[in-house]
Amino acid sequence: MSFSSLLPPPQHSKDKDPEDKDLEAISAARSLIKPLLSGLQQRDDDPIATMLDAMPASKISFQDFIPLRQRNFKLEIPMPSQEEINETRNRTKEVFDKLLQKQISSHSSTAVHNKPSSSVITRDDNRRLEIVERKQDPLQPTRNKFKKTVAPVATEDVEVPIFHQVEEKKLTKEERAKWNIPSAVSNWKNPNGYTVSLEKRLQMDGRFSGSSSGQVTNINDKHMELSDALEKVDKEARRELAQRALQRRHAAEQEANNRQVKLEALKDKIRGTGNKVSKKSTVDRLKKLAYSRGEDISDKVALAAVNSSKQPDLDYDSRLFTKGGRSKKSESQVYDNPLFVQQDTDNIYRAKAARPDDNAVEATVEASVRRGPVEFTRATTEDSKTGNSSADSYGLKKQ
Amino acid sequence: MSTHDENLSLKELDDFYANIRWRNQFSSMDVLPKHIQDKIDAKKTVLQRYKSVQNESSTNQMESTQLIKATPSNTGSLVEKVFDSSNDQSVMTRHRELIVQQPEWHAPWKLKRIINGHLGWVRSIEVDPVDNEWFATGSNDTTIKIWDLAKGKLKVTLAGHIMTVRDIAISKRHPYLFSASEDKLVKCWDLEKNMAIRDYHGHLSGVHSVDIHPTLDLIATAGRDSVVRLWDIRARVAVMTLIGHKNPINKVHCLPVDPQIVSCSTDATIRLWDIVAGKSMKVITHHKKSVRNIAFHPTEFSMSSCSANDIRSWKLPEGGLLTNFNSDGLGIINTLSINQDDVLFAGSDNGMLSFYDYKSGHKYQSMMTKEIPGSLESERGILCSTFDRTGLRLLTGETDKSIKIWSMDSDATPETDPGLPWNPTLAAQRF
Repeated sequence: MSFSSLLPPPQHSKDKDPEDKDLEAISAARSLIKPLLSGLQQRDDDPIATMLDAMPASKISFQDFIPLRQRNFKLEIPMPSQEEINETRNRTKEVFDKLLQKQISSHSSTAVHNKPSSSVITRDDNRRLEIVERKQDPLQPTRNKFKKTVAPVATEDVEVPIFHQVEEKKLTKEERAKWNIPSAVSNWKNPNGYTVSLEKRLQMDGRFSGSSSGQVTNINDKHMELSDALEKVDKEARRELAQRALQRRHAAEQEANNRQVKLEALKDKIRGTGNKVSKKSTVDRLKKLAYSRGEDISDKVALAAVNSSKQPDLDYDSRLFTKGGRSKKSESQVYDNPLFVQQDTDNIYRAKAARPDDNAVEATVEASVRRGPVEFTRATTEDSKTGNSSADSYGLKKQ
Repeated sequence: MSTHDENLSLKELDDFYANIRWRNQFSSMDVLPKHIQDKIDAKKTVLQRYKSVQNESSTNQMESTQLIKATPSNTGSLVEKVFDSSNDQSVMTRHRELIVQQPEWHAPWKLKRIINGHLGWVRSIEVDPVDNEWFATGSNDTTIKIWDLAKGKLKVTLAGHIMTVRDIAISKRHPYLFSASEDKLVKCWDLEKNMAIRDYHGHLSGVHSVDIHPTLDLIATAGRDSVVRLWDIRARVAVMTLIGHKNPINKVHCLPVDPQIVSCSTDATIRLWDIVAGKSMKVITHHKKSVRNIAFHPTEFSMSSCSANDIRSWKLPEGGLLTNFNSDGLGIINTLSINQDDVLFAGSDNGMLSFYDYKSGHKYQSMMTKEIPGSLESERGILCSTFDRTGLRLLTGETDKSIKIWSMDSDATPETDPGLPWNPTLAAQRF
C-alpha cells in the first residue's frame, strides 16, 4: 500500500519539471532508507530498529514503580563533586553574562530616548518655542497599573504524564448549596426599605438555616400524642383541685358565718347587760327631753347628740364601721356594699354646733383636730418679711 | 536515473513507512501482557507447564544442553517455572524485605525555649550560615527581626516592607540578606549597615520565596504570579523568567549543579529547571495536593517535598522517587527541615510536630506544639522551621507569634526512648 499517494502533493511540486528534480536528493534518501529497511528484517542487532521499537510501555517494569529506598535503606546518593559544580558554574555563567549584557544594553538604549527636561526651538520667523516638561508631583503614586496574573501561559512541547487519578469532582447542587453563604442582611437596619422574604430571614438565622443542614429537629407524632394526653390529665387535675378548693371555701364560709352569728349573739348579750343599757338610757333621756319640748327626734339624731358631747377622737359607734366598707365575702352575697353607706359616714365629718360656753376649748381643739377638708391660706406679707430677715441672717445684704 | 527508478524509491519509502506504522501500533500485541500470561500459566497443570518449558528449551539447542547438564541454578529455575507460578517480586516478598530492614534510632526532641517578640505570624526563619550565631525571622507584622541564637535576645529589627515577609535568604558569600514579601518586592539588606540597599521590582503579585544561587551572583524568586524569576544581584535586572507552573509557587531553591532551580507549586507539581535552556527538565507530578515546601538534605544529593498528608523524598538530579514517608493524619504540612543526622521534621498546620528517620521514612516521634498562655486553639500552626548549622537545634516559627527552639534529649537511649513502633506498610511502596 502507499500512504503517500493519499497525501496532497507538495506545495510547489507542479511548478517544477520532474526532469529538473534533484535526483541526488532521492538517491541520498534511498541510501538513508536502505539500512533501515534492512533493519526491519534483522532487527535484533540494528540500533535504529531497536530505537524505533522502543515502545515505552514495553520497557517499563513493575520494579520501576517501587520507591528506590524501599529496596535498600542504605542507598548512597553522593553530593555533586567540586569539578561538576565548577563546570556547571562556568557553563551557566557564560549564558547568564550574555543574557545580562543584552538586558542592560536594551535598558541603556531606552535611556538614550529620554529627552532633556526643556529645550528651546527658534524658528525662522523669530518665534520661539520652548518645550518644558510638565511638572509632576513626586509623591504621586504610579499611574501604570499592573494586571494581576496568576499563571502565564506556558507552551510545552510534551504534556507531563500524571500517574495518579486526578479527582476533578464536580460539585452537586446540594454540596454547592452547603457552601452557599447568604448575603448579610441586618435584622435591625433596612435604610432602603427592601423587603426580605421570610425564608431568607430564616436562612440567615443559624437555628433554621435550611433543612439540608439538618439543624431543624423532626418531631415524632407520638410526642404530640404524649403532650395531648399530658395536657388532658393536667386539665382534669386542675378542675378537681378547683372544685375541692371551692368546697373547702364554702365550708370555711359557713363556719365563719356561724362564728359571726355566735359573736353577734354574744355582743348583743353583753350590750344588753352593760354598755347598751347606759347608752340607751341617754338616748332615751334625750328623746324624752325632746318629746317633752314638743319635738320628735329620731334615734339617729339622738345618738348623734350623745356622741357630739364627747371628744371626737374618742370611740365611735362601732356599728358605723361594721356597716360600711364591707367587702364581698362569699359567692352568695349579691352586693359587696350596703346601699346607704354614705349615710353612716356622714357622721364622721360633721359641722360642729357652736357652744358659747367652751370657746377657749374649741380654739385649742381646732388647732389640734381637723374636722373638714384641709384649707390652704395665702402667705401673708409678714411671712415674706421674715423670709427676708432670715436671708439677712445669712449675711446677704439687701440692696 | 529514470522516473521508473524514482517511483521505485517512492514505493520503497511507502513500504518502509507502512512497516514502521504497523510495528509501532501492533508489535506490543505479539506477546501477551505479563499479568494475563501469568493468569493463563496459573491455570495450566504441572504437565502442561513442563511441556511448554520443554518446547522453549528445544527451540534453542544451547539452552537444552544446559538443561541436560542440570546446573543447580538451572534446576532451581526449572523447578520454579514448573511448580511455583509465583514470581520473585510478589507482595509478600517485598513486605518481608521491608520488615527485615530496621530504621535508625534518633533521640526524641523537646521544647527548650520560647521567644516572643513578633506582632504577627512568624512566616520565615533562617539561621546564619557562616557562624551559626544568630538567626533571622520574617513575620506578618512586616518586619524582619534578627535574634541571638544562644541567648534568644533581639538584636535588630529591619522594617521596610509593607506586607508580610514570606521568605528570607541569607548569603554565604555576601553580607546580604534577601527578603521576599507579599508587597511584590524583594529587598536586599546589607547586614553591615542594617538597611535595605536594593529592591528587585518586577513580580506581578506577591513574592512567596527567594533563594540565592550558591555559586553565581543570582537570586531566584517566585510567587503568586507562578513564574520563577532569576535576578542579577547587582544589576537588579530579571535576567530570566521561568514559565511553566500553572498556579502560585510556594518555594524555590537553588542548587550548584543541574537542576539549578527547583520549585514547588500549588498546582501539585515540583519542577526541576534547566536554567541554561530556560525550561523545566523534569516535572514531578506524584503529589495530589498543593506542594507547600521542599527541603534539601545537607549531606546527600536528595530532597523531600510535602503536600497534605503526603511526604516524599526524591533522588537528585533525576528526580526519582526515593521514599514515601509514613504521613497519614498529618493534615496540611507547612514546613519540612532535614538535618545532617538524617532527621526529617514536618510541621503541620494544626500544630503537630512529626519527626522522621529520613532513610526509612519511619515516624519516630509525634507531638503537639506547646501553647502560649492566652493564645487561641486556632493559633496552633507551625509555619516555618529550620535546623541550625549543627543540626542539634530546631527552630520553628508559629501562628501564635512565637519562635520556639527545640533540642534533642541528650540523655535518651534506644532503651529508654524507643519512639513510635516500626510497622511498615505496603502503602510506603506506592508510586
